[in-house]
Amino acid sequence: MGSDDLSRILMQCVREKCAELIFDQYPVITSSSIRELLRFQKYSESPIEMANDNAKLSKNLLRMKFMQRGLDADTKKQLEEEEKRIISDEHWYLDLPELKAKENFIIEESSFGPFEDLKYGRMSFKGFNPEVEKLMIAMNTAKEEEEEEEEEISRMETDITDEDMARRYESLVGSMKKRFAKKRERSALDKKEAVETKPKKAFLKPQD
Amino acid sequence: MPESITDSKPEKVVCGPGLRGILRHKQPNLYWIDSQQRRYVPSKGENVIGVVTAKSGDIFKVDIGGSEQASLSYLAFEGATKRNRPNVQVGDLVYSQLIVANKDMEPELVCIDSCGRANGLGVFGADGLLFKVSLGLVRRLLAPQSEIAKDLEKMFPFEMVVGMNGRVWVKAKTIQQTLIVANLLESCENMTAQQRQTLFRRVADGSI
Repeated sequence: MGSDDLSRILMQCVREKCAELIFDQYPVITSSSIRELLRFQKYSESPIEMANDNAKLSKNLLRMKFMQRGLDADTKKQLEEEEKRIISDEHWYLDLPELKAKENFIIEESSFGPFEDLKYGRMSFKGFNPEVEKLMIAMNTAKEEEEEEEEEISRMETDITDEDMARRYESLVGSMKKRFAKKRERSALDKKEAVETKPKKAFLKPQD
Repeated sequence: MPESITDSKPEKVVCGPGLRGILRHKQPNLYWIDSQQRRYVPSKGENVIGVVTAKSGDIFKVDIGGSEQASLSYLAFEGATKRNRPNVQVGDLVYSQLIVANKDMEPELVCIDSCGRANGLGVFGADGLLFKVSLGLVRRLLAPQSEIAKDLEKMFPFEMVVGMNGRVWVKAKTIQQTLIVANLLESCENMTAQQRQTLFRRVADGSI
């Protein structure tokens, strides 16, 4: 039995008033339950009212996978919203005033390093271990340079203005364009520029 | 401590835990207490001297003098790969940097910097002498304009590794000289600059 047949039969069954009742008894629909449904329909005393198309289907029925295909967008959306509402209702939350974290003005630092500008820990004196002496110079100057660099960066930030940047970028765009153009286009580009640089000739109206 | 506090009770003052030291200040907003404690609490970024105590799979256990042993991956050495393991034996000294250190986790060491270079970190100390001093003395030794380091420099050629965990390793040409340096450093703990200089002069003259 295909799922289309299934839905058709179900639709038919459900149009009856007792259909919902049946569905409560068969929450999981199997082929055997369908068969039973049909039997119920056959021998039920109330006649089948095929003409009544306006009968509403229950929500639980509409939510089933095989019923989804026939639904129009409106009911689909409605169903989804309802489902969402149910899910959000099930979530727990505490009715408390919102927590406001205050800014902490004390920063804890567990190491002495940043306070005392400590030097590199390996030392050699009077050329006992030349490698370490080289390292000492390198590491200790590296630290100083780092500090200087930081200063430089902060100075540089103020050095280049946005206008400078824009001007630079403009020229860059032109040269990149030239680079990626083909040979013929390149010459054309050059010519264009040359033309543009020449003063434009225009007809001047002679004065009387 | 600031004088205003000591003034209130001229004869005897009770100092609670954590208040035994000199309150220091550095512009603009740095405050810390400079003390002579001996207990090391690992903190991130510090260079320490550790003793390898165990090899287990792909990590070494290293004693760094903290409450817990630190772990050191075999891949955290310069030039180490899965196939090319570093030659580290139990009992070796490693000069290494703490990259994980907090109260909830096991401290973790590395012997390379962020670029993968050793820069003096790693196994060292084929011979020489390792001893412990107070953390305050270590910081005095590593201070940028350290008087002790300058005084020591004048004596004879020797090499020294200073770990922030209070461990100092020295090596000179002879065992005798190594011992002299070690003893001088230990005696620096509680001496004024003048006392230290006279002692150093006497040692340099060979009178001790």
